[in-house]
Amino acid sequence: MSRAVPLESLRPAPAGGLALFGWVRLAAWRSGARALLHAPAKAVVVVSTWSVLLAGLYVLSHRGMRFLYDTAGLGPFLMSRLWFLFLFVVSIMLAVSQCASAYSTAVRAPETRWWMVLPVPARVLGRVKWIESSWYSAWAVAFLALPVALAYLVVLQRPLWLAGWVIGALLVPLAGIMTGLASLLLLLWLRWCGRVAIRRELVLLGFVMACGALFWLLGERHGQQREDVWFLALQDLLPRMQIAMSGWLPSSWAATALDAGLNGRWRESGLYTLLLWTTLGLVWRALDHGSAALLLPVLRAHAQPVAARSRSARTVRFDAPWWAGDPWLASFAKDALLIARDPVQWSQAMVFFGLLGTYFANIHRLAWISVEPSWRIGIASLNLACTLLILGSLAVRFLFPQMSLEGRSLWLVRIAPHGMRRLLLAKLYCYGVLAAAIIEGLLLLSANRLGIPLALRWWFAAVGLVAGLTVVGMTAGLGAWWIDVTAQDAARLVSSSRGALTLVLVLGYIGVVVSALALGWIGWQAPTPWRWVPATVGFVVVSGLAGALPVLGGLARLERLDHAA
Amino acid sequence: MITAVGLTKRYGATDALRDFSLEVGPGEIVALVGPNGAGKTTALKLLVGLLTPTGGEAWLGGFHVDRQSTEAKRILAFVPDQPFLYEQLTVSELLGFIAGMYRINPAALRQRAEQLTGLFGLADALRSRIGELSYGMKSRLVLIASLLHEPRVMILDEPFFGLDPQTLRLMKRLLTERANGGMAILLSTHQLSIVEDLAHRIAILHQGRLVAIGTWEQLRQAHGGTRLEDVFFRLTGSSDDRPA
Repeated sequence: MSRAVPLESLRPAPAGGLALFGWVRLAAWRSGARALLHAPAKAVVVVSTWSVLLAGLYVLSHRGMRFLYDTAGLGPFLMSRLWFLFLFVVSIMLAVSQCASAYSTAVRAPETRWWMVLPVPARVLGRVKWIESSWYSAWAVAFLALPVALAYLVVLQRPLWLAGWVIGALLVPLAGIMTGLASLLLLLWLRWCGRVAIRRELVLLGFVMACGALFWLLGERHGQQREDVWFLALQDLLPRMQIAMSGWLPSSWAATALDAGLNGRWRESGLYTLLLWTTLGLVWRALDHGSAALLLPVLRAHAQPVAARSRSARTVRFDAPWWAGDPWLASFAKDALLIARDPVQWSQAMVFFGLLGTYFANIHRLAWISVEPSWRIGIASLNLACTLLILGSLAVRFLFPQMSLEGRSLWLVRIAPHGMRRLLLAKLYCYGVLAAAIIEGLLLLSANRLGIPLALRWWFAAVGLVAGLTVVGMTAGLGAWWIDVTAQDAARLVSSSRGALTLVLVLGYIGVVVSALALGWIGWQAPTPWRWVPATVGFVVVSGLAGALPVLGGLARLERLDHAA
Repeated sequence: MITAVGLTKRYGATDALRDFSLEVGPGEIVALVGPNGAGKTTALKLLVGLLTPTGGEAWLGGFHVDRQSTEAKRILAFVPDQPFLYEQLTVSELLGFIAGMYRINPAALRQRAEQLTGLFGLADALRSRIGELSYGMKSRLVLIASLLHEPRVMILDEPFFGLDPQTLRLMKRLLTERANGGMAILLSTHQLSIVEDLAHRIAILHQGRLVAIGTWEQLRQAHGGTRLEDVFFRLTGSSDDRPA
């Protein structure tokens, strides 16, 4: 029987919303940590894997930065500019990620309805939910930025303790500002535009078209071949960073503070740091007031059953869906319908892949493309890397938690003949077909606009297909392997150590793929294919193992899963 | 049709179920009763294969639940205690999905779905999303989904919770009719008055052990009392005269 707890040891949880919420989360965290301590082998594997990955990231960053730093005449200048671009991209990603995370944590989580009936003010409820979702969105950024910052300091020969200053004084307020702004925008959107959400595909389409127009306007044609490719490319690229270096952006303030601090201009750095922190205070103050006034109406509107507001009872004749008779088709159709009815999932994919597609479609308009063929093939490789990175991050965000989120409905499949095996394989097919269609379309578009040789176009398409399917296999398989049938919040699953580890593994695999491709490309250019053949064979073997092992592990885990929830 | 021999489930040092043995024949309704935490849900989940036993074995219709799981699942209907379903699907899409999983052909699906949705009053809701349905409607939908492939064995966990009086009566009639047609039914419930009316035999679980099994008459003769409630309190050591 369960271990008896003496009644005198029971203590009430702390009163007040924020303390109570923190107490609940701390209790859950303590229980997880205790479970990990009771399985020392598991703890050793987790800690070692993270250590190796962080060390690998440090080495990679150090080599890349050292290479840039040693580039004659341009290194220091280029590196300080790259921080502007890096922080700008991180800010955008944080804002987009926070929109999905805050929606999932604050509005969709069933726990919120319980909190709504507790004597907790809306302001406090909002505060805890925004803080929690911000943590989910941002912790990995701060964690992974540490080796990058350390590498930067080593290359510049500055004291290593400054990494703590970069993370604590600059990245934390920057992340807070972006997640706070995103939460505020989400709250306003849900309050006043939630009812027209069904037309959001038009809004997204408009957004993508506007980006296309921007690329078209920015682009300029250069008809003649240039000699000094690297110099011209950088010269042409850097002015386009004007947006990222705008004085109105918090990412720009953080980058300026970083640059000024590392160059000994501490007064300037301090002022920009102060600007970051005061903006953080203002944004969260506004979010606090917004939550107090708007959060409860928003949550009530979303808790209200849809049937009660729109549908009238009517008798409908039963028409069997065309896919009903076949178990594979039925599983496939179920997943396709669930994706189609989850706008959070497809709208993010549409925004990111839409932007990428717009960029690829207009890439020939950018001046620095009209250079020698080897440069174009290099750009095509970077395009492949971008496509796979976006696919990888979206797959971890949406496909990884899929099996766990089936959780409470899983009994339905579990009691059906061959149900569990088919469930995972149907997800693989469904997401695999989607990923293959998107990747092939984007890579062929990129290759076509860049005008690279026909044989290489098909090679890129084949590599993209194999790598895309591997990413899908990895995320679906690891999601099944680490299934948590009690989970209800996708954001929490993705930001857990297992979710973060999956993301790092996927990113690591993509790094290996792009390296193999780069080697293959060098081999392609060379008179003998001695590099191309082993690189391709290595790529296929690594992909096969990386895709198949998690799927096999996931299938085995599902077969002996205890459905105690 | 339903056979459990020495089923045991242990979570760490805790025995959720110990040495549970039971036999339910064709056309028989057996009710499993017991206080909260007695191990009823664990026993049912072990029988349908949702949990892996620490010890013991189970068969459904002569098929081993673990070694012949596909054959066992083909003849099984299970109704869980909570109607968790795919909330984004419509009622007809869910029934289509179930039909796919059990390879029911479209003509049979149409005929059975129309009959069952009409019977359970869900014909109006075929195009509604499941997330829009009330708790009671979802419970009825789970029942429809479980009967769609015409099972020979039915295992139900708290099937009467959340049902309105009309559906409750319908449910009792349906279970009796199916049992008369040869189906073996094992259900767990806290509603002792329904058990007295419905069950051919009653099994009482307490602290993970089966403490009594028999017809209502046999239990009354063995343990005394005029109501099942009296027998229940006597065997489980609990009392109904505790201060409120």
